[in-house]
Amino acid sequence: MRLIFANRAWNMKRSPDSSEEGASGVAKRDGAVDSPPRSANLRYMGRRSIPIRNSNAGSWREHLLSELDKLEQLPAGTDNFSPHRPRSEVLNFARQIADSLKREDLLLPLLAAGSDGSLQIKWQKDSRELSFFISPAGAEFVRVSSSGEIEEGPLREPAQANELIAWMLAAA
Amino acid sequence: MTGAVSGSSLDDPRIGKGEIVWRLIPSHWYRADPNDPNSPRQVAEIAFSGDVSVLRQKLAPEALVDSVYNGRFAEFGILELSADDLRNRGFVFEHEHDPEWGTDTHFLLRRAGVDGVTKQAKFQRLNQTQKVILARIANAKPLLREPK
Repeated sequence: MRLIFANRAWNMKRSPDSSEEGASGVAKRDGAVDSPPRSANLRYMGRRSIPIRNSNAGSWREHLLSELDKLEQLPAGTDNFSPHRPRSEVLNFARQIADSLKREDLLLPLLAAGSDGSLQIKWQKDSRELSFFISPAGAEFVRVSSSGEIEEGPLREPAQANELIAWMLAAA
Repeated sequence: MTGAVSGSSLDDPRIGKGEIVWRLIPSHWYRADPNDPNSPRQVAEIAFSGDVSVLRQKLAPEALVDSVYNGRFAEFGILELSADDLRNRGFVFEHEHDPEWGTDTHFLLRRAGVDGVTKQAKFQRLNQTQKVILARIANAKPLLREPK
């Protein structure tokens, strides 16, 4: 199954290996790990308790696009010990996310490439985390709440990315 | 989780109780928060995408890590993971022979699932939640060796 980008549509199909979905399209995995107390979570994850404001509105988008350009320069490869250049459809999908998100007041996301042609875009705000994992097989989101609960699900369309960003930015 | 099976039928017993396995971490996967370049570096979840190779510590000393594949991993960091802890969290090990590492040294970290057609147990790549869990484990204590 592959990402399809005809007419910039978000026609996504899920990998057969993807996790099970609930009725809402979100697979809850609470209880998979012990949730550390919030203070401990902040400490060991190295998170800030007060987010640094992005003073240059819109710069997160420039940062994201610039980082994607850097990932495009990574060497291609197939070993599973190191990052490799993401597939072109994966990079294009990530750029569509950048185009689609409406909020300008986001912090800078972390971008990194996997060994399998995938990439991760990750935002953190206070003790919340939101990641988009994009691979040739499809795109999924993972969000981690302030209490440490982990949820994952398919990323089906741009509007969903906006909803997830809104969740992350909502007051804890 | 739905679709998961007991790992005992798939899990490779060559990795014994109490063993430590290593995941090699290049600098690309060990990054500071881009909003605060001085913040502590963290292992990113994407470090556990695809086929996640791990090495048995007792069979892969640091000198071997630094020398295999013409020294390709000499600047990689080393993440220590407890095999017992991983198994307790539902992960399983699949052996994948790589002559460069020697006999019974190289394994893949997997989840146990069920083939949709045959209904037989099979190894599957890690899901996103498991990547988050591994990153939590990785960032709960310092790396054995930081990447250069």
